[in-house]
Amino acid sequence: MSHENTAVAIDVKELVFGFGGNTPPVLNIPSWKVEPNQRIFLQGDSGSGKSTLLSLLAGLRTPSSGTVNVLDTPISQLSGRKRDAFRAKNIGVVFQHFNLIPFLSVLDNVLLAAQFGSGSAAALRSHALELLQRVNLDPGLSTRKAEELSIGQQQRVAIVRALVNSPALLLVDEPTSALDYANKTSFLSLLNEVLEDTNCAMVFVSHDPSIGDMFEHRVALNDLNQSAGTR
Amino acid sequence: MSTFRALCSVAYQSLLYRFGGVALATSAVAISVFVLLSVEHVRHEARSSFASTVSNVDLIVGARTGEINLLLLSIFRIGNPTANVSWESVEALSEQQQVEWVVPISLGDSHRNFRVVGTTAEFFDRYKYGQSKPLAFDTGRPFDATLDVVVGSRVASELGYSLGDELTLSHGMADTSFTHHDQVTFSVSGVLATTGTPVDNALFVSLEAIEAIHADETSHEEKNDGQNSAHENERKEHDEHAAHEQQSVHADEHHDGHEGDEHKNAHSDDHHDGHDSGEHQNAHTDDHHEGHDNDEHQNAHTDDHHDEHDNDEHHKAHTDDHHDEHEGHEQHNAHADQHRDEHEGDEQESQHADDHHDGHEDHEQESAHDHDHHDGHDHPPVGTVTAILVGLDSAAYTLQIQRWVNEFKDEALLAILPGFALAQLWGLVGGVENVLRGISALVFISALFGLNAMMLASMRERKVEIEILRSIGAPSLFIVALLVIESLLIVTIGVLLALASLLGAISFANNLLASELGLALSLQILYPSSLIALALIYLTTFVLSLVPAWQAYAVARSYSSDPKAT
Repeated sequence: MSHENTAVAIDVKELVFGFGGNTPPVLNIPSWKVEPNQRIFLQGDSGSGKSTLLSLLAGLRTPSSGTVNVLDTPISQLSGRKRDAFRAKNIGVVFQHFNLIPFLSVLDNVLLAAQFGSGSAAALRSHALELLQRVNLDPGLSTRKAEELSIGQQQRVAIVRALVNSPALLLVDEPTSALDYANKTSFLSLLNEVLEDTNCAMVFVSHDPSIGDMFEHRVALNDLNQSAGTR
Repeated sequence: MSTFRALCSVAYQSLLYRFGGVALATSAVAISVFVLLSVEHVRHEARSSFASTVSNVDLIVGARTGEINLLLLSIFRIGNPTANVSWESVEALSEQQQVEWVVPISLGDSHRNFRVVGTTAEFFDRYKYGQSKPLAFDTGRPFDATLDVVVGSRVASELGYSLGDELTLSHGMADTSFTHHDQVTFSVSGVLATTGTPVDNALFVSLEAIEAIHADETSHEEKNDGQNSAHENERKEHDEHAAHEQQSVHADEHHDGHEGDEHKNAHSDDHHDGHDSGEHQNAHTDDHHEGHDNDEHQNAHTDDHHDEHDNDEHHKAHTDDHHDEHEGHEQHNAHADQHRDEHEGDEQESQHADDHHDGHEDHEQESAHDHDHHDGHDHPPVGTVTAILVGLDSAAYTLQIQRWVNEFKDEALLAILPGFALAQLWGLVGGVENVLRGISALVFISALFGLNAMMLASMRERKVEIEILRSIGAPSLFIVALLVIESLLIVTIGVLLALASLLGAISFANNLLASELGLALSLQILYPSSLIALALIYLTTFVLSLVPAWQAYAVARSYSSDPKAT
């Protein structure tokens, strides 16, 4: 199921991003690379532009200037439609709070992502069920509405949803901030466990430096971002 | 395709998630679509029911009045006759070469709020409705005796009449009518099958019966006038007893002749009064002399009188003006009232008032009464009809005969083409029809605005959903399509609800409409104009749903531009 991830996961060049007007740019990253299959902890304080950077990497935003290459694809240069298609296929995203469509069942949430990624939800149905089992979700929960699950359960479903298309890049945005300590550690070990036998690169963003201990590679956003502190 | 299925599934579940607001919006849409479709339906149905009320009738002729008045009166039996057509005109019309048949109609009586139509038995063969459908009998057959009545299907079901039942008719319309023809009892000879036209709401009797019930009315007055000469009456009673015993062998012949005369006399004003009574007598002897040989009885009786009157002191008076014409039947008629009175007198001795002479004078008075009476009410005088249905040899003569009628010298007449008049009548309501359509369209638009308001109000919570969808690779177009499909789904459910309630409402309304107008709505609710209405409904929905969809698209494009995203 894994991709041939010989391509550089992320290659950012001369990235400048601002919200326009007279406000100074939020991000100014001259250069940053993430190697294939590399899992990186990106630490940044609140309001430092972590989420903005992730949305640029996911192609949900486009930079004011510079380029963002994901898996050797200049995602910042693609048209809107192509970016959507590329994201659906190659990038998994896990957010801080709300990851699931509340009125869809757990399985439908996962399969909807599969639909956008592969064009056929049915083909990935068994893979989805298998993944749900691997994150220790009771199979009985798969038909429950997403909003009926606890936050911890929802975050685990979010991992499955992000990985169902076997992406080459996983972007995770403070998924643990809504969890208590016990859930936080179990979530992180689960995440590592699931990623273990994949060739998926990951950028894990958090303001909490203590989580970084569990990662091999750690980066502080302020070190990358030339705009840091100017605001 | 399977993206589309995913889209529909998400839209459906999204609607369930927002059930409260969606249910309200759906109800609003359902109600407005219901209004829209019912206006369309009633319009369509009323028009076709209207147009199929009468067919195969080339012309309707009546006294000069408005075209629509004549149509309403003769076909829908709405309104009251203002003037009538004399029998001479009916004959003159039927003698026209191009005229294949004429069916006279006489209105003015009612039976428990249902109109009574005096006509000829030919009516049942000639009157057609819908696509030339003839009238059919559920049971029985057309009237042939004077006191037979044929009832429309609704009259039968409403009043519970079946074959052989007896009923009385009243003069004028409705229960407020002061004059009841209580003395004349009719028996049901036939029940018509349902037609969905005003025929269902009418009772049909022969023209002779119409004349008979009014003759009876006048004989009440006569009875009161003639109570003075009791002793004369006694003597006469004696004579009559003799007559009863001496039943003549000529009786049958005489009776046959009498019937023939009666028929002729119908066309002669001079003979009207006598004729009335004669008929009346025939009617009543049937009722009063059950088990007797009535014909012999009364005819023998008449002959006796004729003979005896040669020696009678009243002989002169009796023969004064009738002498030349008297072939027995005039006398017979004059005696008829006595005869009847006597039979009533069997129970009420004091009412043996009539003698021959008085009876005769009363007949003259009676004709005066008759006029007063008819000036006061709007009932056609005896010998006239309200309208005439006309069939021609060929439709090509229609205009020719119409002109002949309209230029008729002896009487101011009007001939109308039923189809044309129906269209004209419809033209009157056409304006209202368009106002109703306009209103229902506005109601629908306002329901759509309500739907859009609901969609826009949900946009805040949808923002998160839209972000999630975008993050898993849903294109912006998917978001737009989702919103549009949700609107279309709501409208579809609304339309289905509306169709279901429309079917229910039609069955319900049919009961009311049929009793008021004799119109019936079909349960066939999908036809071109309502399909066009549905198409417009969907088109409008689509266009208006682009408003919230555009909003959602803007959210999708400006992904998390709010401060929260940092």
